[in-house]
Amino acid sequence: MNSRLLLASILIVCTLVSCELPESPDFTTSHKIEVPVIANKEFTFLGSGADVIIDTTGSEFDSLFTVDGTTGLISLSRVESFDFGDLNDAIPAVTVAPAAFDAQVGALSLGSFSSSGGAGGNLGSASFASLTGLNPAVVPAGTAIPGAMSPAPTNIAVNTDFFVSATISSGALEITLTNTLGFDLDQVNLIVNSGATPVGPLAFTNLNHGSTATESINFAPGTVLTNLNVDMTVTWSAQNTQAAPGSITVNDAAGSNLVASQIVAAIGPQSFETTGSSAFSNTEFRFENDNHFIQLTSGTISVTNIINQIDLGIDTLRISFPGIRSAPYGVGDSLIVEFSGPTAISRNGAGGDRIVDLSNHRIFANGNQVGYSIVARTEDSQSGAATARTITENDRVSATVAIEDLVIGSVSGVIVAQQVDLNTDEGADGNLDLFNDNEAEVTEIDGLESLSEQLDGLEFTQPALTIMYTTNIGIETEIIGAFVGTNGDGEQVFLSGNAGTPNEVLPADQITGFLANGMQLDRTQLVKFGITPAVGPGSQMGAVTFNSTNTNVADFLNNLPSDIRFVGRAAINPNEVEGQIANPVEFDAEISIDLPIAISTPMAATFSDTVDLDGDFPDTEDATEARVFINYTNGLPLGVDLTLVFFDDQGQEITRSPLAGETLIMTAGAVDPVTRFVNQPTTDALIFNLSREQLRLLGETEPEEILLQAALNTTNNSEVRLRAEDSIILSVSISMTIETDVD
Amino acid sequence: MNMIKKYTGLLIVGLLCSSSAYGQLQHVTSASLGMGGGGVAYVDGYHANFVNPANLMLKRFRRPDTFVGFGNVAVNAGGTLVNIPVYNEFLTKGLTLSGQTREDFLDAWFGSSEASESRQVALSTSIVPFAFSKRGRKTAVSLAFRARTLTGLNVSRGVAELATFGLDANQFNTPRDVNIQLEQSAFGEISVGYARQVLSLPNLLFARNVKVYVGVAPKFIISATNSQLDLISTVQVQRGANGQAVNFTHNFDYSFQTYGDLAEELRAYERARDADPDNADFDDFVGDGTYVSPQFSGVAFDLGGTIEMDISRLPLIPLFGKKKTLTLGLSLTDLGSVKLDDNNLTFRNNGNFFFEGAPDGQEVDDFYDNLGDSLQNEVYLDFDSEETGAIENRLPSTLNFGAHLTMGKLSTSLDYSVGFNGRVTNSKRSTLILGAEYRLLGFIPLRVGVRNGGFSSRVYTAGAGIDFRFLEITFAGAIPAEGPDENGSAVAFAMSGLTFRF
Repeated sequence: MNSRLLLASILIVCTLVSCELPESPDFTTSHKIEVPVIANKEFTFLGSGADVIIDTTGSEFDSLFTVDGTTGLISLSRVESFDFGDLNDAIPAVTVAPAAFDAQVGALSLGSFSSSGGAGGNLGSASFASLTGLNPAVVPAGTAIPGAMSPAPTNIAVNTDFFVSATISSGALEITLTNTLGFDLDQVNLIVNSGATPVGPLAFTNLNHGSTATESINFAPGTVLTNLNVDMTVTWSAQNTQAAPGSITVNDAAGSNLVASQIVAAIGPQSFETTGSSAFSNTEFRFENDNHFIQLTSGTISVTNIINQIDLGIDTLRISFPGIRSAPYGVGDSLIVEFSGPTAISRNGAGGDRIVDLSNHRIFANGNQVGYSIVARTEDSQSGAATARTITENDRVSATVAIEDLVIGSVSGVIVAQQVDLNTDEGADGNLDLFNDNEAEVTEIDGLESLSEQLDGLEFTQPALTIMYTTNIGIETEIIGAFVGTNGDGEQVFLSGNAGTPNEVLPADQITGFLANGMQLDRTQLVKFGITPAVGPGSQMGAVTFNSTNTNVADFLNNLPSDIRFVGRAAINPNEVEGQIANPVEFDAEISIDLPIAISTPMAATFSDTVDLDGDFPDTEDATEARVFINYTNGLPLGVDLTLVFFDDQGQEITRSPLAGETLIMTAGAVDPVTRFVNQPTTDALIFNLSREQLRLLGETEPEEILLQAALNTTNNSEVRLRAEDSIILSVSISMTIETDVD
Repeated sequence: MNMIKKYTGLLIVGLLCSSSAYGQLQHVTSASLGMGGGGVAYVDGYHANFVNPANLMLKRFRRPDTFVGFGNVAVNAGGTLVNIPVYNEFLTKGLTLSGQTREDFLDAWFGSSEASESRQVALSTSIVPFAFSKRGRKTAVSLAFRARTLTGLNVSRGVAELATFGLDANQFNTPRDVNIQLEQSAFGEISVGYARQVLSLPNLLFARNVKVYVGVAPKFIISATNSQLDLISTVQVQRGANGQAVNFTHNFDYSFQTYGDLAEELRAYERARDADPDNADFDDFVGDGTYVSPQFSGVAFDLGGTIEMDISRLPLIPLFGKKKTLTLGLSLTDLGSVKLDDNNLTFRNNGNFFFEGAPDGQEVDDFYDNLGDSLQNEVYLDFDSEETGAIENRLPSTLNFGAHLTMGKLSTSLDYSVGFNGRVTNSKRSTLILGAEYRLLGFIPLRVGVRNGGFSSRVYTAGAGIDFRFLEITFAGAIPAEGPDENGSAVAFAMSGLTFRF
């Protein structure tokens, strides 16, 4: 039994021992990946879409490039708005000091003394008996009387209901008499009395019966007239009376050029006038002829504090401003301010204030004087219930005239030369610092920043910077300022005018106060340029171009500034010539940077860019070989020496390719010697290898960033020009061997 | 005596030279698999329906006459594609499959550097959920249900090159054959067996009590699913000068034949795609079904004859008892076809696919994604269907011969078979099987065997379990033999389930 079991067991064991059992897997696969990444793909230098090197529709490069329609030459162009500051300071400030005027009544004229005066009037009379001492009853007509004279003066109280008193300055008093005594008189003598005081004699000769005569008496200045009466005596020759005895009548008593310095009387209307002017300041603007003016956007003229010190009401007060005119600004359009009717000024009273809106008025003020004239007419106190007024020649009407709140719309004349800061002067210290953000105008040049950060050494040979502006300034304006451009690497270049060009800032130019970080800039760091005056009304466009002839703009722009800072001052009308300026002053400027891609590389330009992998780098730890095949037909006039540097998350270099001593060069296309455009693309191939060790390093330390460094050379390092349609055709494929352990 | 020596010599030679023999797709039980997988001369009971119906008359180990079985399972897999020696040599020793090592690996696997050289792998499963047999004095009958799946895959070396090289322009610079054939079918069989004793001789030469049995087991076949994919293609990967212009060229001609729900869904997808290629999603049409479409598919036969004799007179190895019974069997199995009459469709396309990748630039992954998408959309989902008509798939028919010698508790067996076709694990290459069984304590069978040939190289088998007269629960397995062999490897497993005898 045992032997049988043993035999069976041996048979089973032998069977099992000779079996082929699968062992645990332990091997490594090696796969090759052959992948075309790009196949004969043409990348145009400039355009839109995916097949371009520079996508002009991208946010970074939108409107950065322009293409010459004829040659196809690309220009790297950028237009940025640029705030040159508030030039409204160039508008002259014009002020007028308030003016007070007095209009004195002046000399007072005396006319009729009585309401009963005039031809046939009777202000008083002397009878036959009193004048002759004869009994008229015994002297009928035809009675012969002997020659004789009045036995005594007869006093006649003259009826002067208009007149109370007066202090005579000059002139005469006319007295009119009518003889109705019934016989002819050889002479009538009057002694004119002021009250009891004789003020002068008056004689009438040959005053025949029935006749009327007027004689005048002049008064010495200062003569005071009051209670006017006369002592009359007559002288006659022998004769027969012609009529029954009568009297001598005083018909009238009136002034003849009789002027008084003070009167108490009822007098007729008195007119008086005066003229004057207000002065405009001339520190910023001068009116040098009748055509110079300022046009007001707004403003007022006010007549206030009207005081009437006259014992007469002023029926009409008219103030005329011949230099203040409304449209259409002719002489007849001058401003008149009148007080009359309801606004008439009462005697010994005050008038209401008057404020007149001067919007859209022009002020013509030759010699910076705006004139006015005042005409006043008083009431007639003799009309109606005549009342006597006490008036002196010094009585007056006064008022204040003020031209205020003037907002100038435009001026035409001579603007006084002045310096205007184009930037806000923080602290008003007279300094403008380029690197004070509160003072300097800072303009970022979109699109150039990324280029300047990535590109170094490429020289643009035909750059230009143009300031394009729209302005309504009709006067000469010259700007001195500092432009500094800072590129993505923080490198700064100042724009300065070339020597001998109008853009050079001369030693005589005022440059004090232009600072950079507190340090005074010298004139070689500044540039000067003028603004062409606008002709006529409205805005006009102009441009100032800085090119390699007049400035160092080549250095300035080859720095590829990502931002431009500016501080400056404008010299307004430095030669003080006639011109116009309107408010608001329009000076809208844009800076246009124009970099025709006509370039050279005296030294190899470098382009660098960092690609953040964000964990997307493929796992290469299992890769043993990687080759990138690049076939190209280069229609660009740029050769490229390419280097890739891989960095870990600590910024440490992991590896690079090609390794030191190796190159990965793409040759530039051949260039036409005349046009400098590529006329013969270069076709060649590159192979880019990563060794097993490099792949192992990249696999063990996953790279976070790849730095792409490209040394760029133009064809023969000479000037070349790029067209939008220049292109490069690329075929790129990857061959990678990947080993995978299976165990 | 001379005959005994000759037989013994043949057995030894067979054991030593078994690598020159071959195996076949035969029905196996836990008993037959444990002894190498044959059984033409000794598999009895209802299993005889599928191996040799004449064996219904065998009465071994004084077993009762009635067998009832539940749940016999057998799985057989392997082929030239499954080459464990090659695997062990190249894929378990830390080698890097590159350069000459890779070439050697592929040469060893496929036998030559020709891309068209192909290898196969097959899987067959067999389940007998219920069976019954009754043996009479001179006749026997049985009824057995068997469910079978047959899956075969045939790939060319080019497929392995794709797997080991990737799309390597150096390897695929010239077109390489990339061929795949895949067939899969599942069907059920209802087998009715009948056997009878046709001759009985008390003495014949050295033998006594010689009996001759014949049997036949017609079976009704019900197909559940059937499909077959044939892809004949080449792959070429070219790189231009300086490594440029990698491109992929795929010349292809494929067909996929199936029926039932799967065919209908594929055709619905085809029509939707034709109508609106951009919006026809394959997944919307295909993939949700079980694709079991039962269909009566014809009648097949298993038949055979068996000679049983007592050769105790012969002086054979006296260690295991005096009574020695020799059984010789001859059978033809799986005679017939699976015929599918309804709704058979073939989906096919052919042409030349050229792919350059995305010219606009891409990442590495994109290339393969795009290539995959293009292959899917332009090649493998862009098919046209055609009515195929009736399909007839031959069953894996075999001719089998076996001998079995019982010497007390020791039994030995020898089987030889040859396939009439190459379906799945069937092979036109011959199979020689040697087996032995020792019944420890009379009810613990210890079985070993070796099988050479057929769809794989040599395999060793073993089995054990308990086998009373009234109950059997046994199992067996097969594993490949040691040593490189271009014919591949195979594994198998079988379990008797519950077999009651009464």
